[in-house]
Amino acid sequence: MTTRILFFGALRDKAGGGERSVELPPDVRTISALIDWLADDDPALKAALRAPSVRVAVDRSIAAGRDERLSPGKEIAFMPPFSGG
Amino acid sequence: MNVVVRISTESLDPVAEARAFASDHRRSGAIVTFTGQVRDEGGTVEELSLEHYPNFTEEKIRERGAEAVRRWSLDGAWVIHRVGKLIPGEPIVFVAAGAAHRRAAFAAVDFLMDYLKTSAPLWKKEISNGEPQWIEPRAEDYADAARWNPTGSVRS
Repeated sequence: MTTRILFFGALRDKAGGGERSVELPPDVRTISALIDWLADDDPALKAALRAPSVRVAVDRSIAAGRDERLSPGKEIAFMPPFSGG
Repeated sequence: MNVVVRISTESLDPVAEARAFASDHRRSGAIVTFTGQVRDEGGTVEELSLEHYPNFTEEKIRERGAEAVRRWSLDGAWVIHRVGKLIPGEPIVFVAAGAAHRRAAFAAVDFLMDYLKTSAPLWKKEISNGEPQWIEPRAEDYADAARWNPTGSVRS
């Protein structure tokens, strides 16, 4: 089952694109584990995704913390600080 | 619903929106409209580029618009926000509130603008002197937004 990963704002540049479709390995079942797995070979991206100012939404609902459980088939959005207006 | 939220790549005509809002709020004693335009910062800004999270962004702004309607007993509130590429002088945001009396309408528009500056899922990139840079809210923006919250903190 495909999991959709979205990167917004500065994270889009750091991730080299705004969207990835991935098959989650069985041992990747938290947001924290997902970050480690996504940015395994990219320490700069890993640090950026781990920044406390980054909000994470799972299926369009803001996650309470990085230990939130994930299951395959969700849409996970990484959102740096907002700036509109 | 008396809250209208539109996120659009199309150019924004604040005069036409104000007219449409007024014709939709003939019974309101007070209408306040606000238009934000892209600053050129002394000629250094060449372009702004904004992005949003489709549907999620609209939903979050609509929630805050509904909160404004309840808090100030508004007849209605509109938020129209541009995304995509913009140049200095272009309207980027339009907010309108209609209420029985002016203070409610002024407060609601101010509240919604503070929210949009700090807490709405929008991301703004500025190109100045050929250099792209992602913009984050300034400390003043967070302080402005915190005024509306009894605990003094900015909510997400």
